[in-house]
Amino acid sequence: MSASSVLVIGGGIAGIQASLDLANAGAHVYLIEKAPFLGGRMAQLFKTFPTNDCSTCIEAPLIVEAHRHSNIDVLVDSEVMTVAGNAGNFKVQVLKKPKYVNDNCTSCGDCFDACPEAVPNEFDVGLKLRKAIYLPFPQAVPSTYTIDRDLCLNKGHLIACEKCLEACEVENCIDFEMEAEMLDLDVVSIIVACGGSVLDPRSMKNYGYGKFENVITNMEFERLVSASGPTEGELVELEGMESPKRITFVLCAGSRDVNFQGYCSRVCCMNSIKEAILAKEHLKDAEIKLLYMDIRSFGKGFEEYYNRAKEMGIKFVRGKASDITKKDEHLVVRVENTEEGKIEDMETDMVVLAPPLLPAEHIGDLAKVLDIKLDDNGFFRSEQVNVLPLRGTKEGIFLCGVATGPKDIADSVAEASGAASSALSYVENREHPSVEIPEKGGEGEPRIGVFVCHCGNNIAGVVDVEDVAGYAGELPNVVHSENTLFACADSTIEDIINTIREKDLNRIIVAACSPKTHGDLFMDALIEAGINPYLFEMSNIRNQCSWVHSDEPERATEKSKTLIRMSVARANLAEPLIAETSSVTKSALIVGGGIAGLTAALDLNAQGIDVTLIEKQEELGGRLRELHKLSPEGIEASKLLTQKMKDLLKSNVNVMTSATLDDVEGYVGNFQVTIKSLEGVTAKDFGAIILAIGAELYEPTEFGYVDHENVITNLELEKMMEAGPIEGKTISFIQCVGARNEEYPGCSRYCCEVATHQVAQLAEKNKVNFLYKDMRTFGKGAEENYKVASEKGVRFFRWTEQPEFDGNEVKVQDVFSGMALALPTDLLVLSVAMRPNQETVEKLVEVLKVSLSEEGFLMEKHVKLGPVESSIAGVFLAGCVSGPKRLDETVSSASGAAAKAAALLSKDEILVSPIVAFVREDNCRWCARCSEVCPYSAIDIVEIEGGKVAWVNGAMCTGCGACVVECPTKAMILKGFKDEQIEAQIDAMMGELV
Amino acid sequence: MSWDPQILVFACNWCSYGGADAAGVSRFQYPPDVQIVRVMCSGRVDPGFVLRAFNKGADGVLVTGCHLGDCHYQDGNYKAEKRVEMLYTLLGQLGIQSERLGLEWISAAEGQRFANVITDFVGKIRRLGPANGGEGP
Amino acid sequence: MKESMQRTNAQMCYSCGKCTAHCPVVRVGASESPREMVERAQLGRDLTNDDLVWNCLTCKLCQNYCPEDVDFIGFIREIRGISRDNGGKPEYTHGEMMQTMARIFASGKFKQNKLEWLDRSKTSHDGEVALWIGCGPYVDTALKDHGSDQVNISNAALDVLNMLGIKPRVLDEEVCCGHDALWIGEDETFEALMDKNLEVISRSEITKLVFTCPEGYEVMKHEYPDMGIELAHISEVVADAVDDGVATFDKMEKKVTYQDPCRLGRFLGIYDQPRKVLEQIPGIELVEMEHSGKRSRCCGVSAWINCNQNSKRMQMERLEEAENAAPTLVTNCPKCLTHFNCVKNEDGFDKEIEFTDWTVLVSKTLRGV
Repeated sequence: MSASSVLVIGGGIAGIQASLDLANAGAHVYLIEKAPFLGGRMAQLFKTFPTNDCSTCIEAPLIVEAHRHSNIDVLVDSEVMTVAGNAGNFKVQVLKKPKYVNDNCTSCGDCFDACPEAVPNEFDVGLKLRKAIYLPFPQAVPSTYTIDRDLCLNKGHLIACEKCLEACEVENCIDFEMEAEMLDLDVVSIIVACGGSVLDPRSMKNYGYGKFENVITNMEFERLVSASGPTEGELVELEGMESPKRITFVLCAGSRDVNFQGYCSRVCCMNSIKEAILAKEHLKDAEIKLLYMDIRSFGKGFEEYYNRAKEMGIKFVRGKASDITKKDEHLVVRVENTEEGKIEDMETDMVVLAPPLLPAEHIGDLAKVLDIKLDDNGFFRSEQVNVLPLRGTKEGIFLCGVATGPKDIADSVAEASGAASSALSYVENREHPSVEIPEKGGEGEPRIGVFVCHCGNNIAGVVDVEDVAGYAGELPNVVHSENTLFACADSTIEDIINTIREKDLNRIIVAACSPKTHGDLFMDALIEAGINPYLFEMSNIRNQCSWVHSDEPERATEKSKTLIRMSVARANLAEPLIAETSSVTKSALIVGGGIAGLTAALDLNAQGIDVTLIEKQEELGGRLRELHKLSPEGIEASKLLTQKMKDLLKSNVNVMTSATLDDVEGYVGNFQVTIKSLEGVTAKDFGAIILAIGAELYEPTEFGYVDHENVITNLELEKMMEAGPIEGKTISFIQCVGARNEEYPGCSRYCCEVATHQVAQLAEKNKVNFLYKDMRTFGKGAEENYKVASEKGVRFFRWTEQPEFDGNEVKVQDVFSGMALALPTDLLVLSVAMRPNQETVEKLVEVLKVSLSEEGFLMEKHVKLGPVESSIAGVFLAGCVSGPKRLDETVSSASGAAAKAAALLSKDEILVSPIVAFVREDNCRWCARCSEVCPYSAIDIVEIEGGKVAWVNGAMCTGCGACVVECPTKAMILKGFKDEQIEAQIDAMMGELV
Repeated sequence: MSWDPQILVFACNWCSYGGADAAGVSRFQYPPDVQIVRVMCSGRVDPGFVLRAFNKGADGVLVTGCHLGDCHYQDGNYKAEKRVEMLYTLLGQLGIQSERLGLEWISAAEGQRFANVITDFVGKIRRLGPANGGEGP
Repeated sequence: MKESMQRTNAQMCYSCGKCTAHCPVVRVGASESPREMVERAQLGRDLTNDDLVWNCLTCKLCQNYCPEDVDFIGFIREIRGISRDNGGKPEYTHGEMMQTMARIFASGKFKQNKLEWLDRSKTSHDGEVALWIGCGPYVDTALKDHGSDQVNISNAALDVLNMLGIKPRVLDEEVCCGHDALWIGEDETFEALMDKNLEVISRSEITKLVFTCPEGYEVMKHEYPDMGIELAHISEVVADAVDDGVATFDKMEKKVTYQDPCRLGRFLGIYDQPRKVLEQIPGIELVEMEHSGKRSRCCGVSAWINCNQNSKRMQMERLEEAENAAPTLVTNCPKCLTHFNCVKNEDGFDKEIEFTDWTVLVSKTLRGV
């Protein structure tokens, strides 16, 4: 029986992540994308905050993986037209528009050069041209060209341009007869990852966008500064094309503004800071200013990033730009500097606007098709905003990413995994792709076959391909050499397979393009021919030779020969590699019984997975037990918790309270865990571990908390509010207690939202003062609650110097009024920081070797793209274990962690990449240098008969090779990249070929 | 007699090799005096490889990897940096000008940067002349 | 092969097995023995892949005991050359850096610059005595993480010589002595290095060359043609000064034991001089290890090849002996020190012992008259 299918709508990073998690758990996926390529908005970004990671570099491998995954059908240029049926049995109709170029396309680009029609390229937000036949950007996947028929001159039989057809040397590639198709799909559940759109800044008339060329959007800035953008990363003004000397970033350009969008767009502060940093890096002397209302650097490492920007000399001015005009050659931004109380007319050369994120275009139509509801802001509505954030208002339909509201990449990715986890509970039939990898081929003397590709004119136009093929044929061990028009064409692949069989070849070299794009294709050919795919080598004579040396054909020809000589040297020493397998214990351990642990446990249980949940307290429920009413809707925490506990009772989850983790041995798929509880010590095996240990709240020493009884924490206030009404008091709130200071720079993320919700409740019957540094009400409904609090008369004060409290009065230097104020206060509430759960974290480091980030929270595998995975394979992160989170984020990440565990546990065995380190035991002197440098703790020193030796856990090794270099005695070998192979390449480069 | 330098470039699979491919896609030209050896991570580059290359006649060696903080393997590029710094000292002691060894961070999106880095490095090596002090420009 | 056997007396072997019984590599687990190897050679077998071809430490312990005077390590050296011709090679350590450097020097293409650390006020330009620096500066750079500290020894030697009234020359153009190249069968590398050094030494017109490294001393004494100059280890120079009454020592309270380097001991016969000097230092108590002098056991590795499980076992056993004797082990070969420092930084090292180089120790207490 074939696998149950899930529909994923949207091919941005959220849709890709959800698809991969589903597919890796054995579900079949239809990934639908409207545009002609995958990658969404992330593909357009140059860098990502707060690490300045290259966006393409980190997203591209996932795009390629999704595109090649045998459980995923990618349908680009496609839209969902109708949906009928119910959860478990949806009938979906998808319209797939024609590309007019079929899969035979080799992306050589000859057609592009020939096409006479050009328009601004959407991918570069119109800053660069594209043709009617085009690839939106060089790394686009699928890499098949596409024809824009609106622009194309070839209109039926009226005008026949057909220049592209003439230029194309591939048989049966461009096809003007191609027609749209309607596909009928049966799916069990649906994930909506449709992303959002951006407000056209033209609607904000006083900002002059569209009128002044040098007023641009943040996405335009992103393309301008991008290395792959229209100016190749040179930051210039669009008018005048000179480097700007002054750049002004305008934040909240339409967000947090009832005239446009009342909500916070959540990503613009950080994105603008990132862009300001990029600008500063490009133009060291430029004057860079950011106009902001509140800097919302609430995520992990964000505050440090903000501080870095300030240190770099970027100026932050608090105030909302009122208008932008042009005077002489420059722009003038008018703003009240609200910290100094004066109006400034800032002269600048370039203005970068951060317009609000909006719901996706046509979201209403999609909502109708799916029969699910939208919220007040026009995004998709969650079933319950706190604990069911990823569930749409119809069963079986799940939401992630910007579909439910603005969000950054990391949060979108966590939600995507979470949505996948929920969708998986409907997936009854699962299937994992299985390919039999031949082991043979390495034995005997090398018999090498070389195939030199013309790539149409792309290589042959520069390199004398015949000369190169002739040269290759003369090299030692080469028994076959030929040149071919397109190595990747189906007919050539057939030819390669046949030649391997006929001539008994045991090493194959294709001299063509890049192994990164085409390596897998040829490796598959080797598999089909019955030899091990790692006996394949690629010489990159196109991307790294003919294309970049087109003016020097003779030297390019010589260089191609050298590259092939080097490949031969490498191939001579190639060995068949077999991915080892490791069995999987099909059960999960969840550490921590708060809302994160409960969510993860129930998610996995819904998929029929054996789950054990341990909680160190006597009772389950964690922090939720101590809360009264939850932001933003005021629902009672106890109600939600009771529902979860009922679900738990109905489930098969094995719960152990008053239980702690004692020791863990083993590795991904095979953890041997001992648990300490009141009943003693229990030993059990698990395949996956989810850490949901939560976080602690800071115990304040400041503001007289220790001395005055009328000073309480925000958590104590919750209990007080639960106990009974609070009336007739003057209550002051102080934010950022124990956070955002020198000792502890990070923002605790939850507290502004919680506090505004608390004061909104208290303000009716009390007088309330609210003292804050930056108002960070970014969550869904939070900005709205902030407004409610204002309406109800809460007085807000902004401080930079820490206020003081003497038991009766709060003394504060208020930034807005510029006055030193003494606020009589009956009750002082401190919003305290969220800190790592020190003791438990230390234990986890000891027994699991997980890594910590600077503040002591657990480090994620990747801050953007691996938010729910730890640095250790098979160990996943749910909730605040990796850093402060709001409730819905905690729940989403818990589901995300469950999806990762589910994918792992859905397999009978894990296939380990064969490119791993390997220890030659005799050579090993177990010095442990290898295990010290391994970033994945994949190496242990183990006892063997008569001594000790380093041992690589293939399931955890990623093949980076750091240990190989560190090994003083060459005991460590990286399969596929052996020292001898690299040395032979070096020798061959210099002409020595043994 | 004209002389063309022999320059070995190590490029990490995830960033710099991608950057080299991207330079090709965008047709950014650079001198053909370099040969690229792909490694999974710049942290895989053994100092012994660099010495070997100079012993076999290379005039320059360039190690390229992901930008600091971007490493696909967390911190391999920091390891590469440490080793290259050691090599600067060692090459100096051996009488091989340490400028003949380069270390650059190039992301997969930085095709232009890849071409620029190579062009600059080749220019530098050409100015330095052959490593063995033999016939040069 | 036949000639090799004749040259090294290997055809005289009558399979008594004493060599095997003493061989340190066999003791910790080699799969073949010296005796078997010679036996197989007598039978005309191919030895290219024999365990001991590259695992032999060439420590010469076996030859101490051989009743037939078989030059087993000479035999090994010849077999290594043959093995190399057949495509065999050792397990190079440290990414083959040390060997590559020797080849780079041999090529003569580069003018080295290894003396940046040198305090020229301690040296002279035209004296008749020179101090050999050797490969310490390179090894320190390449193996800093492994605790290599060899330049310190050269510096100490300069202080010692100065104290004795000698301002030595340092030969700026000296290259690698070639010891390791020779012992791994790279004859062409060795010869190129030797030729270069012969030329440098002859041009310098020195009459005496002092070594801190026994390997340089050994190879120049036994493998270079006679250069007509006096060769001496630093411990011989100090011992002579003691005899001449020109060396006195400050007090140093220390209980020490002494590691005889194979080259200095069994190859050059220098056992007594270093001990004599140590015994002259007031407060030093010298305690011998279980195996010392001619019976001394090896530091575990030679010529930067084939360092492995067995090497570590040997080192741990040797350091156990040292620990049992005294809290400080005095080494007298820069490589012994580097090897022991290396193991000290490793997993599983559990010995309470510190290492001091002989020259460094002496430099701290030596006072001129």
